[in-house]
Amino acid sequence: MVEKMLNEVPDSTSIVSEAVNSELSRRSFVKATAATLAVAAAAGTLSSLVGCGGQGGVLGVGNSKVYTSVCRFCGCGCGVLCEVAGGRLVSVTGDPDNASNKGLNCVKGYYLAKVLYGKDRLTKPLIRKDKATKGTDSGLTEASWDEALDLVAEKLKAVWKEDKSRLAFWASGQQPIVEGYLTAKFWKAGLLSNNIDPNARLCMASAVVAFMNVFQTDEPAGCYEDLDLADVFITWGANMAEAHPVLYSRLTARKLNDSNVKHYDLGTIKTRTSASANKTMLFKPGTDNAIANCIANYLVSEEKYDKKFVEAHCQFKAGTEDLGNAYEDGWDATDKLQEATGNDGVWGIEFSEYADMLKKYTFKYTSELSGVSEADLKELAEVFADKNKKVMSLWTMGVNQHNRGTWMNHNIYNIHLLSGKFAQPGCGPFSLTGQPTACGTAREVGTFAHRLPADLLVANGQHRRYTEVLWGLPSGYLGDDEEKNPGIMKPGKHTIKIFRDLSNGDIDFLWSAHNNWAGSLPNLTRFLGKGEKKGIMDAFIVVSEVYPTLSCDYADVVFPAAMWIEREGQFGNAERRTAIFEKAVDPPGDAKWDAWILMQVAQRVLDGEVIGGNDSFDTLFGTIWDKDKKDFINESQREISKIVWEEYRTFTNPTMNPTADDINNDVGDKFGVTADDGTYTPAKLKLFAKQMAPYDEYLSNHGLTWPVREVDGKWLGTKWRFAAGKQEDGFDEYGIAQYGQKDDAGKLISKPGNIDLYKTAKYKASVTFRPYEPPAENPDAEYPFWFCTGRLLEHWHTGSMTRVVPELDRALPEALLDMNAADCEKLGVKDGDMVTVKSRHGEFNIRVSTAGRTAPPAGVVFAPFFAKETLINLAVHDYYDPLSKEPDYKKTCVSITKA
Amino acid sequence: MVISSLVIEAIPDQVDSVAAELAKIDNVEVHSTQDYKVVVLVEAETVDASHAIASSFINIEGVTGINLVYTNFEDDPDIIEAVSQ
Repeated sequence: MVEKMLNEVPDSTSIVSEAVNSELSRRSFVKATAATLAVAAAAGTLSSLVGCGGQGGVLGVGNSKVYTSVCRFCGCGCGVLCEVAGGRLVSVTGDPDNASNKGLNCVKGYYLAKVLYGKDRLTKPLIRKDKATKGTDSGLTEASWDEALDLVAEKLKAVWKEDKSRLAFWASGQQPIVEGYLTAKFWKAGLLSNNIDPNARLCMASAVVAFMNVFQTDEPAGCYEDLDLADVFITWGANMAEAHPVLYSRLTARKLNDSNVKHYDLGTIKTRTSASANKTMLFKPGTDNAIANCIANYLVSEEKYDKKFVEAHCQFKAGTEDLGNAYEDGWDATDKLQEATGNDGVWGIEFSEYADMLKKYTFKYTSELSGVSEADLKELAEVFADKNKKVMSLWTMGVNQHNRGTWMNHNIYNIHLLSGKFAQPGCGPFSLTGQPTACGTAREVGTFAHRLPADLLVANGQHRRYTEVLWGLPSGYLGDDEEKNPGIMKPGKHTIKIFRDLSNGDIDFLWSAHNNWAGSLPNLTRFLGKGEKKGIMDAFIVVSEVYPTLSCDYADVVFPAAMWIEREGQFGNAERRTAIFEKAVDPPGDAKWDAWILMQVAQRVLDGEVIGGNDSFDTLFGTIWDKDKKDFINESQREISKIVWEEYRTFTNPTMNPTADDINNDVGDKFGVTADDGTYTPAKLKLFAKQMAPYDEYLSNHGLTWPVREVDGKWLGTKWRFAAGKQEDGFDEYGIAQYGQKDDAGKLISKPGNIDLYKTAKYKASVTFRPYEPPAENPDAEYPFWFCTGRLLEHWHTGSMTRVVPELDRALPEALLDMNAADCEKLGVKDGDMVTVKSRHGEFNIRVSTAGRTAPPAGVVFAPFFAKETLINLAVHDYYDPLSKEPDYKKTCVSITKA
Repeated sequence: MVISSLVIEAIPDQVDSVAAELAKIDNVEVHSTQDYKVVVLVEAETVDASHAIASSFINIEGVTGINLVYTNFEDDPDIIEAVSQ
């Protein structure tokens, strides 16, 4: 019957003509379209039917037009096709030609229909005239754009001239690449300030630091296709079923296709992901580092590791172990941390030393520590010992939001490297991302306080010089002398430092764009002026937003921004896929493209400023903005985006600029970049390792995974970085050919099936011993419970978009505290009771659920963070990982009492 | 009407029972099955209602995944009202 159905699916032309000829009602036509598309999607033949770009198909018929796009919500970055008629979005279809999702979307795809059209969209600039109203949902009044822009520019310029350490920009993984790139350029080159950091600091920073430590390049080696090919999946503290549903659907499809495929779920609570895993292993919070070391110990002590792989591709290191826990102001500057992070705080060791360090992590010791049985630990270790198994590890916030999150990232790589399960189809560690374009915008264009575009670092002279060349700045403009001309040599304030300083009254100007820190930051009691620290009330705060959020309650000016397909944008997802969402509709009211808002402020602030004798603003933004017109040089956002993209792309295509190419090729010391002793050290930038394609290629290919290579006039993506093989099959042929390890005769050492870690200095990944460290807080008589926080399916982060969709709000109307029944009984509370959750940092009230979405074991409780009326972050501590500066949202100790 | 199509994934030996359960739901039409996948159409007054129906599929024994392929909301009165404001 199935085959019959599929055979009956007519081609697109006949559907259209049938619809027209037989004068089927519109409804019948839409139904036929719906059925045709879904049958084709199930069969994997959707591509020919959708008729994108007016090529003929079932979409875009009549007066409607179809635009290529990417889902607005999470880091999966699924392609969608947006059909627009009469100036509004009328349908959304999974994009079959975007290889990240192949035509399927999760139920959040429904929200796309409504996210543009929710109640209360911000459509006019707002100004707060009476500071006394700060912290409330009133006091903002409508203003003209000129009034709001003049005010913001005046405040920013005043603080900048007075003391630029007292200004900050909090950027976002919700913003497209071009907007993030322009913002970083304005802040770093225009204002010479590194006080810009993204909200990705709260979700991905631990992953980023580990990538750089282990492989010297950010982002995963593998891709989503690994989900279709692995034999064993391990989720480490990740509720993929709710947080990454489309990817989880691929994982379950793989399991259904082969009964030998297994999924182990490791975490501190049972989730929807646990429900479908073959085995769930619940561990005591924080002991994941011990579990990974236990696996490593087994592989090494039993000699079950991949000796050939280890010898060829690994070097061993140890690092500073006593890092303490970061809570106090000024903690970053302590000797302990300086020692730990100087030179990465690591040193080389022999393999035998590494083996000795692991010895403590026996099955017995680890089982007692973690609560996972010895048998289960052994079963997991055997997975890595089995040379024939392709293993994929997946993780997000459980690992990253961890007081030793960078270490846990290291430890996952360690067991994959020891077992040689790395960068091959279906086999390797894969760091999932949370936010939509955290990879593309926050990580790749340099909106971190320590970074420049393309993984370059502000603290590295050659990196700054390379950037100066591409930004048309005089040599040394970004700094060349710590005393006399520091420029941006010193990294700026990371996110938590920005907000700690803000609360202490040490930040006078904050601009945040597309993030809701007043709901999402940990320890809101500390940051929102609810404790003794009131700095937030005095600072001048600017918020760029699409809907009113809690952060707007603290804003002095709110800029109404265009969202999603109301402007052109570029998206970088978790598998290194860059894709474009086209502008398809106009923003409502006076809402504007963020790039326009930024340029307006930049023109005002940089008025009269010069760089090397030339006008500052024109030097930085003259290619896209006409100062006399006070607008872009071209009305087309496509054209503006292309100009910016081509400039950004030069960072990863050095040959587009001869001087940049010389720096990339280490042509002597003619660029004045020398070490203190006057010698020149080759920079080995290897920037083609992140090569991006021309803008139009992303439109015609519906996204490409970098590095993208031009082969016979065609641009091809890379599915498996560092893996030898043919480019057209998805392997990293050209990267290895260019930078790979060669023998004395100049011949490449790697063969198909091998890897070449060409981005590292010695062609070797770093396996660094990282021990178990107890969490920053541990349960005691006063605060006996672990409190874990997270996200559930219906609501995206702080709910600023999803809670304006009534049905979603009804589906999950209230944040509940999931508790174990035994704990409830002990406390005398029952399902539905209101309780007060109190920590050393703050408290909030919440309703208890014993039949909630998650099922915590005794001693652990869980609540999501989407609800502004249940502000759980008031009680969550802001201890952070000393290496990544990412806070640990998962292990605050609390008491629970009946309210 | 808001018209949507979805691919529902099921445990392979429960595809038939999943399809039968889906067919019992008001405003849901089972179009076809393929391997472990069931293709369904959902017709509802609004996106909200359509989403509610689609989300409820997870409660059916044997359903492992709900994938939205297409949703057309040109007639959703809520959206028409929101746009007109």
